[in-house]
Order: sequence, then C-alpha cells, then structure tokens
Amino acid sequence: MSEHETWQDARLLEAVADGDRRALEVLYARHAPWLLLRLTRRCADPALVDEAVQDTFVAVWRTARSWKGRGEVAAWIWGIGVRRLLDHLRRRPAAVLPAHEQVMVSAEEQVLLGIEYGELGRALDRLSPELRAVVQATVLDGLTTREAGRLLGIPVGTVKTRMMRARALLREELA
Amino acid sequence: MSTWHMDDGMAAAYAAGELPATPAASVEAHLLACEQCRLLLAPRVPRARLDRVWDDIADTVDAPAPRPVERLLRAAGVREHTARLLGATVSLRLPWLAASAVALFFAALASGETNRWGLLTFLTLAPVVPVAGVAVAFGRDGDPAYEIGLAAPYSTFRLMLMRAAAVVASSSALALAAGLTLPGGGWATAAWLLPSLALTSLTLALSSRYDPRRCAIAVTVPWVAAVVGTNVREPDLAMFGAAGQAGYLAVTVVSVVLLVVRRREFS
Amino acid sequence: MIEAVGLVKTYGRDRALDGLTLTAGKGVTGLLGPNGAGKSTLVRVLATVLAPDEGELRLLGRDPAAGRLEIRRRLGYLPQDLGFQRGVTVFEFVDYVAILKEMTHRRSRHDEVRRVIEEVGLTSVGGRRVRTLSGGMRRRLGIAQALLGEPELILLDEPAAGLDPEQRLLFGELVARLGQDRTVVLSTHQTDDVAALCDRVAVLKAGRCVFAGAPRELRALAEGQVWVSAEKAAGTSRRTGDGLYRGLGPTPRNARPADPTLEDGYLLLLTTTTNTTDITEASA
Repeated sequence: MSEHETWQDARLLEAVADGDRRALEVLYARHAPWLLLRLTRRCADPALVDEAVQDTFVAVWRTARSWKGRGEVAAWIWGIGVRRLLDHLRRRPAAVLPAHEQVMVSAEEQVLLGIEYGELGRALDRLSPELRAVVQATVLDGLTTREAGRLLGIPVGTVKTRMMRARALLREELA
Repeated sequence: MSTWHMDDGMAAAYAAGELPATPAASVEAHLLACEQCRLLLAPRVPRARLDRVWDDIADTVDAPAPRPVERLLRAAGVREHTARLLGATVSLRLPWLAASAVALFFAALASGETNRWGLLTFLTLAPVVPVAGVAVAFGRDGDPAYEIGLAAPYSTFRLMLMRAAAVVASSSALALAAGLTLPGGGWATAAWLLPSLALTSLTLALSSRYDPRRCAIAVTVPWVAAVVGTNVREPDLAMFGAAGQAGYLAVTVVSVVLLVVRRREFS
Repeated sequence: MIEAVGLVKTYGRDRALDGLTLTAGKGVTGLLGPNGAGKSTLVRVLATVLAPDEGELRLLGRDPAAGRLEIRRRLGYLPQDLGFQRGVTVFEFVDYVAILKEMTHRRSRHDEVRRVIEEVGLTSVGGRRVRTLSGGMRRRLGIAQALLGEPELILLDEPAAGLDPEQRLLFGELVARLGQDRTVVLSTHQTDDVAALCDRVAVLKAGRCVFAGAPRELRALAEGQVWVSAEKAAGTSRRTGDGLYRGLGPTPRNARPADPTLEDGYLLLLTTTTNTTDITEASA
C-alpha cells in the first residue's frame, strides 16, 4: 500500500487498468472525498450520492483503459461521477439543491473569484441564481443542455433560453 | 493561479455546504487540478461513510463478472453459487454451444436431401453432442480444479450430475431447434431424444470406473457403427423405430440405476 | 492429527504404498523421498482423494471411511498439478474453490476470498488473469485456495518444485507462519526444502516410511561417515558446489572427514535401508 501512495494519479490509473486493486483503493482515498462533497452540492439525498460515488469507482475500475492520458484524472472522474448521479436522479427524482441565494459576497470571496475567473467570476456573481445554476451546470460541470435540464429539473428549452440570457448579460458586463 | 490554495476555513465551509455558489464553483474548478487541496478535504468526510461506500465498491469490483450462461441460469432461478459452478463448465460456454449449434443445424439442413441419409446424419449426431459435452465437463481432463474438488466438502457426484443435466438440457434445446428446420417434421424432430439420454447416462455410468473421455468414445463408436451398419444397404431408420426407442429407454433406466449405486466412486 | 498405520495402495502391479506408518501433529512435517517413493500417493490418501486398500488411518481424529465430509471441511489441499480454468482471474478461481468448500453466502465468501488472497500477498493482482502470473505467484495462489475456511490440516504436494531461490524464500516464510498453529504436511524431493521449512521429516522409500524424526536426527545418522576430497576417490561420491567431491562411508586416503548435512543423512538412509520396515522413531 505504501508504494502505491507515492504514485501519480496517471500511473495509478494505469495500474488499475491492469487489475491492481490496491491502486484503486489509493485513487478512492484521494478522490472519493471531494467527489462526495461536490455531488452533495448537486443532490440533497446522501444515499443517491453514495450510490453515484460507488458506481463511479466501479466504472473507473472497468474503464480505466479508456482514459488515454488527456487532462486531469480528477476531471475524468468528475465526468463519470456527475453522469452517474444523473442516471440515479432520472430513476428517482430526489430533492435537488436549489442554487444558493447570493446575498453578499465577502471580500475574500471576491479575491477568490478574481483568481479563478477574474472578470467573468465577478460578472457571474451578478447573475440571478437561476441563470447562474444553468451556467454552472453546463460550463463548470461540463454537462450537455439535456443533462443540465435533468439535474436542475427544468425543461431543455428553459436551459437553452437561460443560457442565452446569461451569455448576453455576461457579454454586457464584460464589454 | 498555481500559488493559490484553500485554507482550513474555506475547506470547512465548503465541506459543510456553507460556501456560496460562485466561490464554491471556483473551489470546485480548482480542486480538479490541485492534489493538495483535495487532500485538505479528505478528513472532512466521515470515515465511516467512506468505508461503507468502499466496501460496496470492493465487492462489486472483486466479484467476477458473470458469464452469459451464469446470468441465464440465475434468471431461471438457480442460486448464485450453483450458477457459478455450472458456468465454469467448458461445454456450457459460448464457444462450445455455438459449435454444437452449427454442427446440428448443418446436419438438419443436410436432411433437405431427399434420401434418408441426410436425416440419419442428424439423428446420429444429435445424441453424440451431449456425450461429448459430458466427457469434457468433468474428470481429470475436463475440470482443471478436479483434484481440489475431490478433496472439498461439496459432493463431486452432485456437481457431475448437475453439469450433465445442464449439458443434456442445452444440447437438447439446440437439437430441438435444429429439428424444427427439418423438412416434413413429424416424429423425426424428436427421435434422437431417447438415444441421447441413453448414450449420455451410459457414459456417466461407465465414468464411475473409467476415464470419462474413454467412456465417451466407447459409447459413441458402437453407436455410429450400429447406425451405419443397419442402414448401409437401405437407409430405413430402423434404429429409431418404436422398438429402438423402448430399448433406449431401458438403457437409460439401467444406466441411471448403475450410476446411483456406484455414486461413491465419484468422490 | 494424522495417524496412519500400515497403509497399502496398489495400482495394478505397482504397490505405491506398501505398509506405510506415519504420525504427524502441529507444525510442518516434510515428506522426503525420491520420485516413485509414494509421496504423492500418500498426500492424496491424506487428502481423502484416494482411499487406501488396507491399513488404518485417522485424520483429525476421524476415520475417513466414515467421516469424510467432516474431514474435508477442515482440510486444505494443494495438488501437484494445479490447473486453472481458461481465462479465469485470481479472485474468480479462489471464489470457485470457496464455493466447493460450501461457502454459499456471497458476501462472507468474498470477504474470505479477499482474506486468503491478502494472506499470500496477491492482492495487487487479484483482478488479473491467472495465465499472466509467474510460476511463483501461481504457487502462492494454490496455497491461498488451500487456506480457505481456516483448515486445521494443510497438505501441499511438491509445492516448491520449480521455484527459484527468491520465490522459495517467500514461500518458506508463508509456510512457517502456517505451521505455527496448524498441521502442515508437504512433500518434496529436495533436502533444502526440508532443512528450511520442516519441524519434522519423514523419509519415504518404496512406499514405506523409513525414518521419522527431527531434521537434525536425520542429519546425525551420517555422523562420522562423511568425507570430502579434492579429487574423485574410490566409492561413490558426488560433486558439490565448491568443486570438491563428497562421499559417504569410511574416509579414503586423500580425503578428510566432514560434518554431515541433512542431504548426507538422507542419502545414507536411502542407500542402506533394506526392504524390511526400518523406522527410526525419535521424539521430535
């Protein structure tokens, strides 16, 4: 176990493709916590989130070979995780968390926004919660418009109109 | 960007779900690229929850993916462990079944010829398929884990019977399907059934004393020779008539009795 | 744990076991003997795979003729030629044997499978196909399945054959650990294995047990009868690793006496025992 813990994610994934169970254990230890937390922010039902995480790592085990080394392993894992969550939500429409009501942004958070997204982050902040949720789902979570609709519980058409509005507003802000 | 990291306060807020949406999104994007901050979050998820989820993952990951045969058996109500034992049989796996199906369908199609030889080929072949299947299903040559099985508590005799039954059932199903393509149909579509049972049960009974493969050959060769012999001058399906069928039934019964009487030989 | 008296097993004209008497208890007992001495046959009889034609046998306090099932529930057996189904993974194989050992409940069975795989150090290859494993790993896999269900009696038939020295070392550590609280019987034709692994050794020759005792007692049989020489001398001798010649018997002129090794004792025993039963029993 100790040897595996020094390996990079990419190497661990390679070992997993080879059937190395220990490597999967280490990957789980590294990525399951943040995945759990991030999925919890999309879905209030902890049982569904647990199942989604479980399915994710089983999928990692089975499809490790398909990663092909592009981008971060974490991003790949997120892509699997959010889609597994969607699968479960489709079968059992559970409580989905509404986007947080943004009342005030602290100075520290302003700095954060500036670092990650600069102007865009600040502009995003000025969007309404509904628009922001759509932007988050499609741009940040990497979902398709259909998947975003499923996650937020709104029709695809609504997703598209909100995206258009958000884009227009952002363009205004950043112009 | 690479020098910015979360601090404890932010990690706590995020983990508790108290971080507002946009900063949280920022954190999440950052987490995809930063190992250090991911590790910062790790202790903030309850250990028990992580372990519980991992146990389920480990079990799914370790468990061998069931083969098609296994899944079929389980769908039919067979218990999981029995299905796994059966699924390990060579003659119940796809390649073998496919080969048997091809052979049987070819033989059935050959009966399209107007002379009787075509039909005889099918009727002679159909009982031989399960015999071959049984010969490779158990015994030193057929089952790689045979020795271990002998020393194990699970009854080797019972395993053998189950496997034989499954082999006969599967080959009979294939032969029945192939028989439906026979022109004219009628009794010929099932005339092979009793000979099939007779030859297979005889092979099993003999296996209590001799190597299963030898028994299979010892049973198949006279069978083929007899069919050829009685039909060489004029193909007339004599061996498949009513008298013949009664004979096969008798052989089956005797073989089964022999089998039961000598069951301890198998363990 | 094992009490065998006068076991006889005949194959046609070949008497594989010819009145063999042996006892074994906790710890590691080695069955040492040349090929054809009846080692495999004995191991198979002890594993209840074969029934003896004559003689008395008690395994774990039971008579195999009557209580075979109960013995098999407490038995682990690694045959000489371990075979695997095509395309099977490490986990699948052990799981299969676990089913044969009557572990019907899936979850607990899988936990047990994981436990034995861990015990032999094969967890990192649990998902790999057996055919991709090295010989040493396959041997360890064989031991893993023998450990299922925590048996009281473990029988290993030529387990170290074909392993290289490094693999032998790992394997030896595993066996030593097992022998601490169980009866382990392993057969071999190499004295090195006995010296390294066994608390007791039984020497088999022509279907009989011609010696049973501690390895040092076997070694002591050759006391004062071993010599080494730089040149080939009269009498049978063998070439040793350091280029010298080593032989048994009275010391010839151009040789000097040497301390006996286990191999010396063993060879002396093989060459001097006659056909009558000649057991040197010593308290272990």
